[in-house]
Amino acid sequence: MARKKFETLTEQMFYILLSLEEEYCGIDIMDKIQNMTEGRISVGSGTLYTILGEFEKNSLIRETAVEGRKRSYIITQEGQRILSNEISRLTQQLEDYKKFGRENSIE
Amino acid sequence: MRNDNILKKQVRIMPDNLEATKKELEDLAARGWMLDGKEGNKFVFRKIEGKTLNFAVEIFDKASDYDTFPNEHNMEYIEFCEKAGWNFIFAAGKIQIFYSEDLNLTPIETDDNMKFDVICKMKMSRTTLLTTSVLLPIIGFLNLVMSITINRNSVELSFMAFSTVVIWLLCILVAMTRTIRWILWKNRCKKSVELGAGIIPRKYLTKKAGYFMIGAIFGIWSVGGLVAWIMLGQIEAAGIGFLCLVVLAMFPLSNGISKIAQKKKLKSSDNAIAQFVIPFVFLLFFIVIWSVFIISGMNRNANNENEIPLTLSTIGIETNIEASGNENNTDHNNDGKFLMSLDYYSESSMTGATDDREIKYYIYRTDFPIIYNRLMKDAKTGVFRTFGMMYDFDLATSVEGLKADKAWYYEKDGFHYLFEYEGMIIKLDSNFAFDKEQLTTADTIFASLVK
Repeated sequence: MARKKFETLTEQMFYILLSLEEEYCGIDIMDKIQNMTEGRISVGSGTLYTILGEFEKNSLIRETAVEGRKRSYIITQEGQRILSNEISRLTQQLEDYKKFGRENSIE
Repeated sequence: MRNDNILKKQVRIMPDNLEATKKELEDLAARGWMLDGKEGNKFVFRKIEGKTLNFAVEIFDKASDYDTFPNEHNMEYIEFCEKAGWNFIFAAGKIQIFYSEDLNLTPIETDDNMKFDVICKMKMSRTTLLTTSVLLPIIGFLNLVMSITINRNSVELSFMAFSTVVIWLLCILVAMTRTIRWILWKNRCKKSVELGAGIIPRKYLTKKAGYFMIGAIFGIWSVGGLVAWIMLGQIEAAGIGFLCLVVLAMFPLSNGISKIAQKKKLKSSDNAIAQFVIPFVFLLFFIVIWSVFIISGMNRNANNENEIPLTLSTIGIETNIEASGNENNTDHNNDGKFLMSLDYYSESSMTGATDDREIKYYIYRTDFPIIYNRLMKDAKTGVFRTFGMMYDFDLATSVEGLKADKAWYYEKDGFHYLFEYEGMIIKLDSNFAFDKEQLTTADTIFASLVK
């Protein structure tokens, strides 16, 4: 079971987890996220390294291949659950904003 | 041989203000000194053409503080950073240093929450390790040793014991202040990180302020020693406090000479002479003054019989004028007592003769019950010494019918008396037994000394 701290994901955690929907080399995730978000989100190399370690430790991702020092990962069921929860949470927030936010602020 | 292309410099690394280190490295690079590695506690810089570089000083949690080269995790981390465009320079324990020519490169750490957690972990371990496991026990041990060794000389050297207690308390105070400041910073920083405002760099004392504080503490201690020893009548010991002050003064003096030499653009030979000669003359001058302290302490003798309270002649013993001397008599600060005064007198009737009669006595005066009780406690527990001679209270029997509040006497390798008056304790040793009349005379004289 993932720790409580992953019940709410930071933007960087969210995109790291999302980018591992398919098997991917850890070190290349920085570029992938840049492309996915068109440069809006940048994950620092140190932050990425630490988050990957934490995710693996809490079984949100698992290692699939090791080539020298390059490791590839893929999301696990637990990771999928956390990601889905996050998406539900964000969707709910958006719904709430639509309901209670200022008129015409979102079309 | 000196290499002008290499600069070795101590760079302060504070986990909670890595920005300051980063800025220092960037400033040095702009001035033409590029960080190259580390030797001992010093960073090594090599000469380059000054340029604007982007440095990253990071904490890598999976390394140990004691790692001397990057471990396997470290290598992986370095590879991640190099892939992102950062060039690795070196790792010193948990601290990792990178640089890049790209000033807009994504920072290595982009999650302030995680960065904050790592700082907290590292900072707490360092602080607690340093203060609780190294510094305080060492000072505590010193204090213990000094208390035991100093005890034998009673109150006279209590300033030393008192000093170590004060220094110990100061260390605890500093550690506590650091911890409180750390907790305050942590709470403030946590809020800032939660609000997305990032990590607040922690402010530290500058090196200059640190040196000033240390100088001030030892300066106060030296002045305290000087005053306490003078007040206790230990003039020669007061010189130690004085010498400490002089040694402390050498640092700003030497610094001042360098500054003047640079300003006046002195030739290196002249500068070298100034650096040695001025402090030497300065030190010599104060050593002369210290000698005066010692001489004044040693030679303040009671030089005529009117100054000596109890003499052999007052108790009816004929003395050979030439042989009886006052040369051993030292009059320490008799009237000007502050905490305590100690006067020592001795007299010999005919030195070398078989019927030589000798008396030695020590007069302790104090207005402070704590010191008085301590002296009496020392006397009764056998640690009360005067010039190496201990009063063995276990052998003593009480002497009644005197003006003294209490008096004791015993015989062993001579004759030993102890008199207790209000604010005054007298230890008298002689090589003959006082008869009743002599004892009454001595007691009357001693009682008249009570102020």
